[in-house]
Amino acid sequence: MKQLWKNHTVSLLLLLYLALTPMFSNAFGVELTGKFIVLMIFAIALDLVWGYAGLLSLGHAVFFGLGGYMLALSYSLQKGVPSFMARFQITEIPLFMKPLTSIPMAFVLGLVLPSVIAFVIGYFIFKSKVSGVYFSLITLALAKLFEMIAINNQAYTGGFNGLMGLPRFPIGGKPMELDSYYYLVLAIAVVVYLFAHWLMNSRFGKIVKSIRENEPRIAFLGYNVAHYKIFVFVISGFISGLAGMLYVPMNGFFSPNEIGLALSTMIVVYVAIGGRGTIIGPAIGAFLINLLQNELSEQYPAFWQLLLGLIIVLVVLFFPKGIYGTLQEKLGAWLAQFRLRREGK
Amino acid sequence: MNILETKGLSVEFSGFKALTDLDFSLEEGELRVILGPNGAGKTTLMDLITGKTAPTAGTIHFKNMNITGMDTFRISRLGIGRKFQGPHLFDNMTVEENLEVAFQGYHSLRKSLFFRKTKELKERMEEILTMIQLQDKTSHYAINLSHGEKQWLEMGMLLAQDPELIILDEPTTGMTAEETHKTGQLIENLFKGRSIIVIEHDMAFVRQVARKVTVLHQGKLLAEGMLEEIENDKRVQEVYLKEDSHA
Repeated sequence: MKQLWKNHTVSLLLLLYLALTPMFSNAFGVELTGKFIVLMIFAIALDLVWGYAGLLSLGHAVFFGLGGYMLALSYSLQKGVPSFMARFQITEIPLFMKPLTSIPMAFVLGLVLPSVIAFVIGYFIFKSKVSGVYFSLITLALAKLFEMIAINNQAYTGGFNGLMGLPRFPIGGKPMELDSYYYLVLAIAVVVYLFAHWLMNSRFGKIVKSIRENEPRIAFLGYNVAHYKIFVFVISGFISGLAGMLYVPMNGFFSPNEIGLALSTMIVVYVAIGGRGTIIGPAIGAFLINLLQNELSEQYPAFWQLLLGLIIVLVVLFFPKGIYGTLQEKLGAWLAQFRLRREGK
Repeated sequence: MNILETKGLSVEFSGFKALTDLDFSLEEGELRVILGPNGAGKTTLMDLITGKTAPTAGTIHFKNMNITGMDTFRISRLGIGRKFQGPHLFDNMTVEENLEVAFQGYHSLRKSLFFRKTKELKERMEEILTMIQLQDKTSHYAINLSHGEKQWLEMGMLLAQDPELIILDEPTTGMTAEETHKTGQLIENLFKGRSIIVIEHDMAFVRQVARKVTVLHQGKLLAEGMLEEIENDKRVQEVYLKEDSHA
């Protein structure tokens, strides 16, 4: 227990705060915080790939968006042909979208499809030994590609406007209460956090880290680097898809913004600000930036983006390893010194 | 028995012949030093043996298995370990983590996910840490070690990897005379019974460890024999011992 507290102090404090939020916050606040939690899950997913394996994916929203669209489309199809389709003289749900009429099926697809896409992308990129900036460029192009696909196929995706009026996880026909859904999302976030923690502290995690540190070297120790990269990419795609689906009921609508460049870049910023390769760091980054964004846009509607940008630049300058990463390092060094001094006396 | 054998090994990089028609063999348990001026093809030969580069012609056999053009990680699993010129560690990982990833036999994804440190492994880890004198620095990040300590950690990783053939590319670069001597002892003691290929410039070190020496020059085999023979060889003196000042 003491060990748990020692290793996860910050995470536990954050969890406590999030768990108590619905008790002293209005519905709007709960919904907002719920969205933050979803983005925290997403940030953890990117941390596995970027923070640990050192693969900077600039198109991670592809997986988030794929998951989200599966569930959002499924909700839209529940009452027959939705209006955005009817506008294009479609009178029947097209065959390839039939599976989405079942919500559980859509849920499974929302996990499987991002994982499969991650596998295919990973397979071709990592087997052909593409790495570094080229990997980032390819993922960047993919984000733009998926964004265009979502916008240009208005008849099937709702186009630029996205999908609106989505319910909150209707189990047995009735949408869930906001608070219960909030706690469901929080519980999943905890599970994802613990899983990521376990994974990255396993031998697998150490090998993934050594790929980041010195990729040429690890092959000389007998590891098939491509397999490890593909696997961690698929896991990350899976978690991203999950986050995308959780986002749908919390947000009430889903648009191409959530599959394209804008979100892909924001999530990279969250991870960088929070602290790469720390799991909780990126979650904190996602939380703080969203909180700040929310406050600033309320107080200074005219130039909040400027202020946010300034703060991000300052953090990067003064906390090169991210807020959590740098504090951990500084505090760790300070504690070690403190202990040494006490033992010395 | 020869543990390693190359026949007619050649490699070309866009017209430049880095190695030409090289026949090289190493007996089991032998320690061989490879000498040669810069550009002689020493490191290229090591790249070929470990699968980093594929040869344009010729074959490489390890334990009578044809490993020509095989992937690096497969060759490594067969039992060839390599230490690069200069430290080549996982910088932002602890000493212990560096050693842990080097341990052999857990290469597959499944094994790495459900890996548990056994008692034997822990004991072996302690043993290695003591041998390389880093037992007090297990949780230090590799990047914060001194140059000598880094080199020894690499030796420790080789021990953890437990290969039958060890390739050491200039293991004493940047070391003081004392450290160099200590490294020589370390190599002789730690890797006893294994086959070793050492590339080295430092003649004091070569005299300390060498028995048989192979000299390469411009991608070709120039001479091979016991150290005294080589040192008195006219051709070797011409191309290497006198011409190359940093020897």
